[in-house]
Amino acid sequence: METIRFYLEPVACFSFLIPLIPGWILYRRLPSVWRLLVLTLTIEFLCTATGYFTGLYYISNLWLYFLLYCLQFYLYSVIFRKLLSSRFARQLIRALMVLFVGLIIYHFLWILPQRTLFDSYTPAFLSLAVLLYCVLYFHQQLDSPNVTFIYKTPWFWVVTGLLMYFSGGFLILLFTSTLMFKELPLIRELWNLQDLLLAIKNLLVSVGFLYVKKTAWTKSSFWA
Amino acid sequence: MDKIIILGIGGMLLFALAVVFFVVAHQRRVIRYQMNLQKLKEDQQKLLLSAAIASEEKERQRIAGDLHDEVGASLSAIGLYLLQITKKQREEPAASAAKSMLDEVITTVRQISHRLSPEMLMKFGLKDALQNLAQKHNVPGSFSVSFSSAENTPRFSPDRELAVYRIVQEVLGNMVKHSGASEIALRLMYQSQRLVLSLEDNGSGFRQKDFEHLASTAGGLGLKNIQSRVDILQAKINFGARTAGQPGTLTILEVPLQENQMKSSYPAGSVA
Repeated sequence: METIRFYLEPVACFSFLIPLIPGWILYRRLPSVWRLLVLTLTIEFLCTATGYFTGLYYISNLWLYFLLYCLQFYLYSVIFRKLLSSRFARQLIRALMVLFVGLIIYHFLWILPQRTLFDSYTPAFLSLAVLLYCVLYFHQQLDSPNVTFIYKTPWFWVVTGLLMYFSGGFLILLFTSTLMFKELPLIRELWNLQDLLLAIKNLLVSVGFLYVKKTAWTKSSFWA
Repeated sequence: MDKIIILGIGGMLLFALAVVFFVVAHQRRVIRYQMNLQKLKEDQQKLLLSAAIASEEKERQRIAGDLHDEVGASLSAIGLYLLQITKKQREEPAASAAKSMLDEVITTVRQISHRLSPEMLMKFGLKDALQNLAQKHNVPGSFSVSFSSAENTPRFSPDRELAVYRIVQEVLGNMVKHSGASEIALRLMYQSQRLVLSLEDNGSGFRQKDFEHLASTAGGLGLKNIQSRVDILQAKINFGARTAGQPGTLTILEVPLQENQMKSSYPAGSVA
């Protein structure tokens, strides 16, 4: 894995700065859930940038990506737990968080001893979980609509970005461990596609930040 | 294998896009439905309110007619009988008191009858009716109500004229009763498809928040009626200060004049 380099990785890496710069500037005035999003994006940015530079010098970075997926899963779970109000959704998130502990144990018992093996199950589980959260969020919006134009709410853009990124990335991450030693050109193309999706996600999240600015800091509108 | 994975990724992306488009379309449909439902409810409420006010006006007219035709006529007949008693008997204190009381009752009944159904409004229109209303409240030396208006004043539907008249009647009545004012100025203007009425007094002051508070509480029936009529007319009413920070009230009523509700214009003073 450490020998693979991707053309769009720097683009994806720098795309994080588009939502992060307003996020860092507005951080003190943001509600807690938006602060969590800024924190998640910052961690994603740092891990992706570190992954890119370690890849340049052929340093093993599989542990870094595993750490990133774990942090992403728990941070997105907490964010959606704050966004979703139904009891079912909250219990489901709690159950998935417990299940994820099982995956971490699996990783330490089976994947970590084989130092060059990419753990596909953790990011695939993360992708499925976030997809589920996104669908639940949209279901909540359909069930009790409180704004005339949903696309004028900041969270619509954030959730759309996450939905696009994780739906495209799910199969890529799931098949990476199978394909990485057999079909290197294909996996390179697929990871390029994932980097492109990551850049699109970051652009959509930054649109969300634009709407946060427009809502004139009224707390209620952040939750719409 | 390659193709299956690429097709799978494409399918997942399509699924994501489909979810987003479905959510946007469905949410807009739901909101549109809710807005329509809300509008229907509001229209229904307006209809009910309108019917209630129309029925109230009808009842007022009936009572005014009965007072004028029956009570008034009977009182006039009693007056005639009193005239037939001998001059000597007429000079008796009791008879003279009865005669003066009877005259007072006839005047009061006439006033009540006119208040219930403003004849002036029906015959000559809003401008003359308001002028008449101002004159009635005028007490030379102690209380003055002035009236001014534009030269040419259009007429609009009787229902709307009556609603405006009732609002002014109620506001003027409240100013006289509660404001402690000694001067009231009533102005009638027409500005780009809307009628603007202003009532200005030098009393203790009544503000919009007082109006909203009293109109929403259990009491304040008159203010509630004002609000109902304003809603039916799709008009705006505002109670503010004449000069910022000073006592006195400036009430402004703005009524939209819709083309189809306007009658022909006529020169001031002439009969429509």
